[in-house]
Amino acid sequence: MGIQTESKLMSQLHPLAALIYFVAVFTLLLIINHLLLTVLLFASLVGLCRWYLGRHRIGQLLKGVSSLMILIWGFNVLLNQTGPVWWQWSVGPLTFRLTKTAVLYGGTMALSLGGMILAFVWFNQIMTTPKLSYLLFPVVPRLAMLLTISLRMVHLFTVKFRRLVMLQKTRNVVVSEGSWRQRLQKTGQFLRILLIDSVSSAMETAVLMEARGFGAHKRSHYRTFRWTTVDTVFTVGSVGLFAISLYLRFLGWGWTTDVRQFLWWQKTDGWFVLPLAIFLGVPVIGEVGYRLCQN
Amino acid sequence: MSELIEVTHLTFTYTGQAAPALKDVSLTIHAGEFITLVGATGSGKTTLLKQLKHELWPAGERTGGLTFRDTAIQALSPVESAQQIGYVAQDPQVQPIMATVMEELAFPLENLGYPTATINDRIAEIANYLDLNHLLQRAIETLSGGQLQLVNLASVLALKPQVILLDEPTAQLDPTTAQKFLNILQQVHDELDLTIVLTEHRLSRVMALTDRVALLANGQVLTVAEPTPALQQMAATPALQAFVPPVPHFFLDHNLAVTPLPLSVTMGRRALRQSSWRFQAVTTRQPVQSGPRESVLVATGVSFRYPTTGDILHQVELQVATGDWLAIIGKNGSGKSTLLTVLAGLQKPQHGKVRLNQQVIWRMKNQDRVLQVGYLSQNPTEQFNGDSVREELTAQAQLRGTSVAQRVDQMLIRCHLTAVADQNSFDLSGGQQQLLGLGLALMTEPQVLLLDEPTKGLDPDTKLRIGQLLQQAHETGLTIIMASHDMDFSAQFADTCTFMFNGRVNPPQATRLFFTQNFLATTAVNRLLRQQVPQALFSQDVVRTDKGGE
Repeated sequence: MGIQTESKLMSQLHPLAALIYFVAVFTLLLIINHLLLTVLLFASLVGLCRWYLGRHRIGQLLKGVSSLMILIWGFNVLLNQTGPVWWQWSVGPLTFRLTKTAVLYGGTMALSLGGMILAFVWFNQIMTTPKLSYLLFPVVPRLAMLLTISLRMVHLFTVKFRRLVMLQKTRNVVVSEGSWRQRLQKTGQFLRILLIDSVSSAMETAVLMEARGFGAHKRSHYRTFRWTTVDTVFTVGSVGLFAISLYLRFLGWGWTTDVRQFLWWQKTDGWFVLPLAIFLGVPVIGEVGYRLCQN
Repeated sequence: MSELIEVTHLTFTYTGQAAPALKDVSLTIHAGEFITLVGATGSGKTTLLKQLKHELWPAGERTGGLTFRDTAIQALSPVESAQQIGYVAQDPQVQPIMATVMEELAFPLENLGYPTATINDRIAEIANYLDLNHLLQRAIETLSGGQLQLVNLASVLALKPQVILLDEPTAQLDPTTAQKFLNILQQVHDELDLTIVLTEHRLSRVMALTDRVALLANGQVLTVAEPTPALQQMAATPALQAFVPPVPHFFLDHNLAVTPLPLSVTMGRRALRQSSWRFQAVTTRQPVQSGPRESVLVATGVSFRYPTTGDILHQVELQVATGDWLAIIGKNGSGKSTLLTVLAGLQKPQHGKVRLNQQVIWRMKNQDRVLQVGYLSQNPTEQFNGDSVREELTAQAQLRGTSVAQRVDQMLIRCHLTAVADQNSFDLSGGQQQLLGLGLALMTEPQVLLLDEPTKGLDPDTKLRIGQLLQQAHETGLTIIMASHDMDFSAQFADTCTFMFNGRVNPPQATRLFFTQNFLATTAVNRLLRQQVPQALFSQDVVRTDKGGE
């Protein structure tokens, strides 16, 4: 999978070009709250993730994301009682109203958040640690290294956590049995063990880093990236389309300030779809061009 | 050979300790030499190894001199130290810090600010030399222990050091993988003329590679000699007798005068042939065959997989009778550890059942299960709660509930832990941690004990101590199932043995039958004497019959 992703255009781009594109994607997910447009954003990201991550992984990802999206939509429907009422139900002094606003706004929020998660997973796939480190290093070298180390430590911590959950059962430390008080006590005990164990391993790793010269000299990089014409074309194209989208948003398109005014779709959405769809299609258009340029 | 490292009258005492860990140690290491530090747990060999690189110095008080090419070791700049003196730790998991193999190999070179082109040239060279090309893009967490240790070595080699210090680098590896790693180490030593300083317990493979052996006991260097005189001295020193590998031990045990002492099975066979020494089996007491016993633990059709893997266990069938001691033998990654966690009820398989006395094990309440099934992990610290040794044992004894203090005291004596009873469990040596782990597993007086690689990384003395402790418990009726790749330990202690491979367990066989039938997976003495006494597993199983024999 890694090698497949490496051979695709987004992975071949200069990290800065890819980063600019992702910043634009995240920004659009934040500044648009019309249902039709968020559907377009979400559907496009599903397609792009399917292309970059593979069928199996996107399937797994959608299972997790969809449950979170349903939860967000459900909470909105339950808690948002404003706007035109479709149906209502009273028990004593309490009245539940199913409103059009709650359904539409909940759906939009769920799609935006789902899209955000998909975009982040895609970002992670493309922007590997050396690329991030390469970008951050000239600005904040310590943060760049810290990021790299943290990613490894998080993985080790997760593995250790799973092993401890399993093996501490042999000491009768089980957080899922007993009264709430007992569970709480055992959780505290478990976290203490986890901390002691992690600190002990991390200290040993730190000594071994120093033994291999960490901190002895200004660090260099095994990989450098060269800005090419493809990066220029990709960046100019995507930034241009992003600028058009921003301008349309500045005009008030794609955004409703008052949630009570939420509609299924608005006339301006139809015009906004065009630049947005082309912007989201840039990686695919680029990929086609990249393949056409094959020897 | 020129002097590379000089240790003169070095004495070192850890902070908070009264007795020194190293006492007046003097040692000269020559350039291009392969030197092995040998000694029991607590003899000071790891402490001595860590003195040879400033960044590894433990906190404590030190007197005496340590020089590297006539420069005090502490006076080397961090860049010089990283470049000239490499270090590989015992646990392959603790060294890697980056996400992929490529990044890990680049890490030390980036630290020292090498230009990009040089870094890539060095990585290309080292990856080709150690055949790591196919692993370069792999994530670190997907590597096996052997691959990871090789990456750790490669990462150190990338800096072209003059000396590499290795602290029991094969302790966590299975015998085949350990052999491969040592072969590579030999290649590196021979072809690159690197100086190697190694600490090791398992000497059967290392002795053939080493130029000199430094024997340590109680923080002092007893002798520094070539392998043959060193082995003779080890055999004559009670504290080090158990360290003599089986083949040279066989020759010393039967007074077979040959110089140099054969260090491998091949060399041993050649020596036997040349001198026409003959042996016959001594009459051994056959184990009393009792009638059919009831099965205490039964696994039927057990299949298990992790979310990201295929089947690790595939339709496993296993019946273990009450009072049996079963050894499950297999390579790292064959599924032994997973099987033990499933048998212990710590993980629930996707298919099949594991029954303890007819009860499905994962349906039992945790405390009831802990009282009936003891479990010792490969890494016992993962079962500790971070208190003192006494507190750990007390907490476990309380699960059984009766005469807690008395039982804890008895267990401290049985496990030889009385002297460290008030120390924190994480501060113990590896051998002591293993003994504590075993003590915790036995504390609840279980019916069945599951042991995952109980001898991994242990010195021969601690190994023997663990074997004896288990034997005592076994004699009182404890059923033991252990996963191990230690052939000698399994042959010495287990009643029945079986192979695990491809996610399945073969039907168990009586231990002697199992090992004498095996061609490769058997004891060194069996391989040595197969032509003459096929049933021999240990030196004491035979006597010399030719003129001049015992």
